[in-house]
Amino acid sequence: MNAAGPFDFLSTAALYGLSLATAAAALVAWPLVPAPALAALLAGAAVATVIVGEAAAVIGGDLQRVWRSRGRLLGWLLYAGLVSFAAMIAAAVPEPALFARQAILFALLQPLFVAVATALGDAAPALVNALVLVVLAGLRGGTPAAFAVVAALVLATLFFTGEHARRVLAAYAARRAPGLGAVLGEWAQLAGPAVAALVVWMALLPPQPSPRVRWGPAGPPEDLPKAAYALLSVVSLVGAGIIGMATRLFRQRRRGEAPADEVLEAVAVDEETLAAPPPRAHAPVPGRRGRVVRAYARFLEGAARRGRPRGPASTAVEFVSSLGATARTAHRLTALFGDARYGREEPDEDTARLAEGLVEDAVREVPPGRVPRRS
Amino acid sequence: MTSGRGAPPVRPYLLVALTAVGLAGLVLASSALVGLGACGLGLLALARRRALRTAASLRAAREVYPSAFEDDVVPADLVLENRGARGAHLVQVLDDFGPAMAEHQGLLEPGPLPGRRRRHVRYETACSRRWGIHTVGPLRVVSGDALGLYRITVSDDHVEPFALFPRVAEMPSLARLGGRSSLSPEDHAESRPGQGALTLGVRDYRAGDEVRRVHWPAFARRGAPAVRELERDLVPYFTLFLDLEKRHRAGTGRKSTLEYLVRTAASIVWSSVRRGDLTQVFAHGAEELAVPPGSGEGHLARALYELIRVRQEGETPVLDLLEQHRAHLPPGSTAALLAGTTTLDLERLSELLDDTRARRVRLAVIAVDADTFAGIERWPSPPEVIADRRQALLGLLRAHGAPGVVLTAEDDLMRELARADFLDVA
Repeated sequence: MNAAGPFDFLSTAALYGLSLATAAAALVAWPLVPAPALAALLAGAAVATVIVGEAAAVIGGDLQRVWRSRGRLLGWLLYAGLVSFAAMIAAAVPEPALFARQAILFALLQPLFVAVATALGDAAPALVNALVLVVLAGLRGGTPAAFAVVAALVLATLFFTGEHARRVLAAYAARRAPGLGAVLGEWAQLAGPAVAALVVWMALLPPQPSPRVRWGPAGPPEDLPKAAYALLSVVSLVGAGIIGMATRLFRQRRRGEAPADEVLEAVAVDEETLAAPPPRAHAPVPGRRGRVVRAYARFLEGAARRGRPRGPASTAVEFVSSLGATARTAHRLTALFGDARYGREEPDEDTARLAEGLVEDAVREVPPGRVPRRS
Repeated sequence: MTSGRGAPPVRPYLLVALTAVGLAGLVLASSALVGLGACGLGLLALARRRALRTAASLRAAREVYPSAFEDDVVPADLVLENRGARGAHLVQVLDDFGPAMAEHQGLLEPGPLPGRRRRHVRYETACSRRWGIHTVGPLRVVSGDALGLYRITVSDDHVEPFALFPRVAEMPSLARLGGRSSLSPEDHAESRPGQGALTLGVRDYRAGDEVRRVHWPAFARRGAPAVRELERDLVPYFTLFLDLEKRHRAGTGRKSTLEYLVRTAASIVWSSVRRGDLTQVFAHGAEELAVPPGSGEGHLARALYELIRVRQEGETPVLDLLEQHRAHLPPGSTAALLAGTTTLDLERLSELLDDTRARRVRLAVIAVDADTFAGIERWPSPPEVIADRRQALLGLLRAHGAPGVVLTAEDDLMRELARADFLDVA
């Protein structure tokens, strides 16, 4: 069973939803084509995206290698050039008709980028293009702008959440996964305050049409009725859900990538409640004397980890003798401990520092306590 | 994989994009874009705070037995604690287990790991590298926020040594060799009067003999008191002299004299301790190695640990080593001379064989022929010289009735060691 499946669905649906919402908002903000034609355009684009993206994903391995080397760089250069060119033209001729054409252009690019994300696993172009569409909607102001920014924040964070969980689970070939509800709960706790703040911001400062745009004497076009935006939201989410389900259907036939590093599986899992730490049996030895004693205690802990615990009846000297003559650092540390613990004089700073520095080497010299079981 | 697996880091790009949107909003006087930029940046700050808090509440510790044999599958127990109040998801644990072939070991705890809970997780990995002292650690816990924008790695910075012992062969040929007398009951005995459990015969009673040893049927038959005489128990006592002279270095990797010497020494020590011998080891490499006589698992672990730390950088010839420590050979015990060459001083070896035989010490000679390995510091000898030298050594051993063998680079070492007639008289 694919534990990452629900998160794959979540990220895919969120990306499609984001694309639909931002493209629709930009096209509604700058209407050039009538609404029925617009709806048909978006639906056709969505279907084409699913088919092209999933078909390309079958040969994704080879495509990814090409994409990651030259194609990616070339693609980004072309896209950056296009956005810069669009911005320059818009700065020179800030006419609504120009923005309407730009909205159509970038909205048509979005399905292409979603197909790239599906085929190559690189969602960055789709996310950046969605942001460009949000900026275009933001210039128009009004309800399209508010709708675009809120939808972008909600859907982009949902996409990041699903994508993160999907990639981590897939990388470890995990058979267990956290519940989708639990992860969505965490997402809500994190993104909720930001989305709430944005909604309050929109309520307090309703987006106005940008004064940089040369609106004609009639001013900005009329807003669609509020119900249209509610309908748009529902259509975006439902459409994204349908597309997400369709892509899942396709992806079940796809082979997973083999992990490159040694990924291990937990073979035994046990759980317990953390108890409060027990009270100290003795007051800690103060000062530099205490530092040496604590260093020696750390050495004993390390020796016990290596299968050589000091018995309750053995003295420090007896214990270190049992480690053999080659455990020279341990002998040295034991001598320092003896002087600090039982001597009259408080050890000096150098001695305390020396004892602390000897611990790791002393532990390293401890031979294992028994021969490991042969497997 | 030090920062864990998952989505590639998008945070820097997101930071730039949100800042750009906010600035564009300011320039274009669009409150929607300004709001998106500001709330997006706020979300990033919140995600960072959440990720740091989650990371601060997670602790991991590893428990792994610090030694194993080559090719063993080792279980490592991990304890993952969530000291915070919130649950944690998708916690990645990365370990560096030196003896394994892979550089890193990654383990995912998908969660939820509820707050104030401890979870025990175990992974198993194979010790695929060569014998020696390897390291284990540091152990790292990678966690983050739900969006995967911040991945925080917390490391325990604790690196521990791990002793990887060479694969050993059980040497049945070693079991045929003798031991020394003992006052404690042993499996082995010799036909000399002693304190053992086996009856050697019946003799006349002497003052001081224990009454419980009186053999009553013989007493009745002879009319004079007679006692049972018991055999002498033997505790096997084994001494290994290992040649670590620098001159005998040859070959590299698994086909080197050091490899053959250490693997053979480990197999000898393993076999002798496992059959109950008191075992001691002497060698002089970069440092002097003297494992005092002992038995049991702890002693075996210590002897093997010392063996994997040796370096073939000594100056003392192995015959000198034997002579120096001759006093440590108790009468009736067994010793093995593991030499890294066949170019031994045969005259001196002959004297030493006579001397040890006079002390009732059974001395076996195992020579690794350095000339059959790729030369490092000298040209290899011609094949006929190598063969002559080998024959001379084996002939000497045969003449003294001493068990011995010459190992070459072409030999399958583990199979040779496991042969029942490995240490038969040459």
